Amino acid sequence: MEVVAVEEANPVMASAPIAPYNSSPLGNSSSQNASRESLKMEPLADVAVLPGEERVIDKDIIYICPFNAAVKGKVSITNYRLYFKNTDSETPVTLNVPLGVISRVEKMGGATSRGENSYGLEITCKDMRNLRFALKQEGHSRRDIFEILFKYAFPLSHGMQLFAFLSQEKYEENGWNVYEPMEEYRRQGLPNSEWRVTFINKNYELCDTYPTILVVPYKATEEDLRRVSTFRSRCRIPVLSWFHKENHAVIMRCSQPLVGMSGKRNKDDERYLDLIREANGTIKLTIYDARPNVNAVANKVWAGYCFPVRLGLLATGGGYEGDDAYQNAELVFLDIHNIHVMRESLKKLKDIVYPNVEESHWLSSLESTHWLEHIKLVLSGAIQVADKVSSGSSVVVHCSDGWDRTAQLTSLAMLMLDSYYRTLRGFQVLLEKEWISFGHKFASRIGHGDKNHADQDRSPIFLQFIDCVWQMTKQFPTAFEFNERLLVVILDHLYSCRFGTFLYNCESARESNNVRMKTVSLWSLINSDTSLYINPFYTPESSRVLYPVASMRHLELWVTYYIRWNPRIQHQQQSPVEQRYKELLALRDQYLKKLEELQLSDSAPSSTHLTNSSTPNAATANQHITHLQTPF
Amino acid sequence: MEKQQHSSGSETPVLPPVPRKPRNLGGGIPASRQDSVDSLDSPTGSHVEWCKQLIAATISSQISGGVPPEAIPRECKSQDSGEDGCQFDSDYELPSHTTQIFRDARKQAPMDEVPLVPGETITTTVKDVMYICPFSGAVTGTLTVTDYKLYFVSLERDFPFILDVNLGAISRLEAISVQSLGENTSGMEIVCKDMRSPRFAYKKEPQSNLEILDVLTKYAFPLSNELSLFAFQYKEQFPVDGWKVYDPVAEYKRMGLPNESWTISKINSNYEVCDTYPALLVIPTSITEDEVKRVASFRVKHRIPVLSWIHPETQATIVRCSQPMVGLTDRRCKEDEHYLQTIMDANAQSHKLTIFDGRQRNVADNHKAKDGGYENGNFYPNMELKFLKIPNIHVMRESLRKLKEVVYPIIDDQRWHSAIDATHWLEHIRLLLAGAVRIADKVESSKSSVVVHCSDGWDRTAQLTSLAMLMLDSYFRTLKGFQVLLEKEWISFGHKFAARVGHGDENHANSERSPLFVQFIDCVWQMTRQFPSAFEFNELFLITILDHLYSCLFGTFLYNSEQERVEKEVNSKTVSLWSYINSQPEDFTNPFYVDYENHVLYPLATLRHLELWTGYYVRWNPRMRPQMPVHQNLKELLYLRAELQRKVEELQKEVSSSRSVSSSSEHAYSPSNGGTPLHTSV
Repeated sequence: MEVVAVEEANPVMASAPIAPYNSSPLGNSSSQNASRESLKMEPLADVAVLPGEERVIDKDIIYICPFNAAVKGKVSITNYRLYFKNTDSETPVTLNVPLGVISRVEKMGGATSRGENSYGLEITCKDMRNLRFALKQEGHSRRDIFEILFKYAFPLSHGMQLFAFLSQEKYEENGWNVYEPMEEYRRQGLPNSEWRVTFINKNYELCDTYPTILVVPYKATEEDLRRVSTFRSRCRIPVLSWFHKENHAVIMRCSQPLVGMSGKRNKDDERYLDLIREANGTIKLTIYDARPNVNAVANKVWAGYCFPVRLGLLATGGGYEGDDAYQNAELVFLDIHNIHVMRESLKKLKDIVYPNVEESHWLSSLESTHWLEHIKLVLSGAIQVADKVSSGSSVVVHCSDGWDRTAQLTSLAMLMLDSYYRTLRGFQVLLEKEWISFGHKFASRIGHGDKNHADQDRSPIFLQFIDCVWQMTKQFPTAFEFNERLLVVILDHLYSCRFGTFLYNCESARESNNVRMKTVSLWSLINSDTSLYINPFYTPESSRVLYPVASMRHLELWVTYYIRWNPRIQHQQQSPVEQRYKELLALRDQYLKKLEELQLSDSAPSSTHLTNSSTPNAATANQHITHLQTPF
Repeated sequence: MEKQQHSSGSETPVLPPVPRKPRNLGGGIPASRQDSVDSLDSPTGSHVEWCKQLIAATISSQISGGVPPEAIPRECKSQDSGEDGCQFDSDYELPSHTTQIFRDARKQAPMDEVPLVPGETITTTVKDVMYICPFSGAVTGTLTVTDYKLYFVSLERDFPFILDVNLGAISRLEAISVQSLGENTSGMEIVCKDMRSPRFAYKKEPQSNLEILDVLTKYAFPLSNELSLFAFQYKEQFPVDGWKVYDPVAEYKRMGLPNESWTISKINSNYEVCDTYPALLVIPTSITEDEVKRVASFRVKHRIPVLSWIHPETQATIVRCSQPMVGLTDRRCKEDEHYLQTIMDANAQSHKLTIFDGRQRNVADNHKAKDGGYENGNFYPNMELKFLKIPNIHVMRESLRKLKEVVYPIIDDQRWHSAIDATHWLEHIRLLLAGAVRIADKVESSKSSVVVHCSDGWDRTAQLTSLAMLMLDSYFRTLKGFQVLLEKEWISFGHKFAARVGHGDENHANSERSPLFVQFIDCVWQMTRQFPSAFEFNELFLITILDHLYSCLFGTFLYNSEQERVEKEVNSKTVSLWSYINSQPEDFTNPFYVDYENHVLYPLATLRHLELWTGYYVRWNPRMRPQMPVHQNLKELLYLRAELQRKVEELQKEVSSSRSVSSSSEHAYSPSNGGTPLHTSV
């Protein structure tokens, strides 16, 4: 009987008054707007647009806010964003949505639909929210705005340019200089007697999705590389990602070998892998295949996608390194599912967090999305890679094409192994290197400017990686120089199309579109004001390897990203602690400076002081201190 | 021991000094340096001491990490091999350098010595006992039973392994079958109140066998064996007397009482009006003694409505009591109606009074058949009655029992979240917090007085009033204020600690047992998570309180009411927990604390904002321990703050003395002000 009573209590309490939550004096309850603006813009109503941004249309509209009631206001659409500001009340409600985050625009209701606010637009976003607007049900009032939105949100589908090419923003720093491959390889201690830099791909002839500069075994000739490329999917041959300075073990990345149904072999590929193994005397080279083990696939119900995909791979000639052919190598499957599984998982997550958070069985529903489970598998895969490398064995990592799961695993393992990548600058280098230059297909996975929202190529692989990084920052709060805000800003601009950083699928495409010349880098924005992205708790430690615990009970949902649109989630983060810490640090600096001053003025008599006219008294006081301080 | 701590700390002069060695408390706070050392590697050691040692170790080595490379990835590997990846656990919990330090420390003290607190005596020692550790496999060693604790030490591994359990934490002892270990072996399971159940196996030697279980039973349940609780033997001296923490008159005075409407009454000074209430009560001034007695006869257990808290500005009050005895016939009591009316009138800001009944409505209805019930709106005009729908003590007990099954000893990682969901523990926490938020909001925003009751007014009522007071009054969020809050709302107002916890009682299945106080502390912890800088105390403080809720080392949580405590002379014959706490407050202080005076805290009472308090419930599992010695940062911060404050004071002194010379008094030096004018020169 009692238990029944517990259950019954749920719905009632769920509707408990909202008032107390908003009246918290500690929370920033004043910000009623559902859109926390990470782009730092003046209200567009009194327009402060980006350089290069142009206004296209203004319209009276009703925003059907899922958290408050419907709000009357005005929407402006520019070639960069959708901006809404309410006109009906004192409390500001604003929306500031870069058009790049829009994945889909649909008409809602028809001219004859009944009910209030049933006629309008529904906008699906890539960043875990949907927006609904209602218009007057007369005179095709939505036609113009729909067409404009559709055109500007998906410029590539309409023969137009992405906003990044129109932007005229200027920054002090030039983010395109952040990553210089040669410099980065030199930092790692390359080239050396075991590894050489090759320019064989300088015209993207060997592999069109790889960067121009590659690091390969010293003993492998250019001819060897060409032969190996014929046996690797998309010619993505095994190349060096990271070199362990002490034990000389390496992380190599590549795509799957083209063994096909018949189990083809390729002597050149086998020899090439053996060269990698020999370079530091590894006894058995470990090959991490990120995919689920073939035998295990059929057993997993929710992995429904994998089985046909796997068959398809074999049918199209893909596969994995067999025991017979690669005798000095050990193959380990990491059981990470493919892009389609991840897309579905995130979709389920969105279903339980937006617009309303599934409250009654929160933890169970969270579990049923499997999102955290996927995070766990990716992290534990990376841990295995990092562990193997720090024990002195070289590893090769691949999945199918070597640009999704492979990038996740190599970059996370590098983050664990190399503290440089945990700095603000180093993290940028890591992304530029492992993700951008090595051809993670950002354009296909995100669908920048493309109207085709149902494209099977879309998948939140990069988001998942950033989530893994966030999980690491949670487990090691002092190990990263950057803060959560950096991660959120990166994700915001992954979609926004304001910067060129994440555009296109590979380096060759970026080059032919002149991205470096014609667009601004996201790192220009970040590095022009780094103070916003610095973690005050950071304590540099150069030689430490971080092993996060990859278990469900240590992983958390990244609430401040996935549920950030919900106004109830916005306050009471850890920020007071950070605030307090920063205050203390500032206070300390202040006193140190003060002490220094006192000591300085001690040695040099007070007459040398420059008096600031605006605060004469203070200066006087200071001089008096100087006098009193002499015994000190 | 003090010396050892010091030596490890003194290697690095720059860093903060190592906290003063806590006094020998055994169990929850193990007594000696070396035993705590091992709790690091044994999953069973005390979390509290573990944290402290971690702090000391990291400070002394000046590293905030250094996890051995070969260590932690076992986690992922063990996932492949399923459940039994546990053998790896013991070797990776801590950075290797830490272990190193502890090893050094270990050499300095003999291991076979059992650390004792003053007044503690050894009753039996048995050799060749096997502890069947669920995390790191079985170890063989020596088991010692004292009149205060069970102490197991094994020297067979690289570093000593120690398990230390306060006898007070034991809920039941059971013989278990350990056939796999051979015919001559017996086993026992020690089921504890603090979420663990260590198991032992030992040789069957008729006499000594009997002895172990018998001795344990005798001392674990002294009250069932005509012995006294250990608190009455404990002889430690502390520089601070914790019994002085709570002075009712001073506390009421702090609230601005008495005033024209409320008086501090001595009507219960001999516990004659209500034997479970404290001697001093705050009641409306205009109520006569006679009326009080009539109201008492209308309230269950005579727990009349009395003031718990008064709003310093609005005079809105929180009043607590037990249910009215309306029965099935809806009996009335004119005096009770008048009494509540008087309470409402005492607050000029509002013409309403809200009665919060902690129960579910149907449960409250059922109580009518047992002569209880709730206030009938027809007879109490201007009053609204709200049910907070919190289930009773039996539901809570079951919920925690399920939670223990989920977290100890083996965790099913795949089903972790849904398993926690199924215990409903967080759901109950949510109901409690949501109820308290409603009370606090009513008092603060509606400026309305409230009356809170459940059935007897000592379980849910105490939870609700104390949580609401914690939200409303920043004083209770200080280290000292929180002690006052517990002394007042829980201890003096007769939360039945003896019955709920079952101190020294072998009757483990008693249906009076319930983790109501644990649940309350959990709610407080949830609040500290949501407002990390609003509380002066830290997590260690909360865990220490819970450890000594069971330990029977201090008199603080013994007995059911103030009257019993006076009768047993608890204040003179036992030591207060606050004596220990307040003798080393720095260990229990939150470095991020900022005094949000006059701030009302409304925690978010929704499930996605509540977390399982793994640092308490799952602390025995070595895999649940934090990755990073975050505590180090805290400690350094504390030191930094003290240092800065000292400098501020120095500078302020200088400034003020210089100012008296220059006679410019406008530019007061404000340390919290970022850009002080003093900086503009140079």
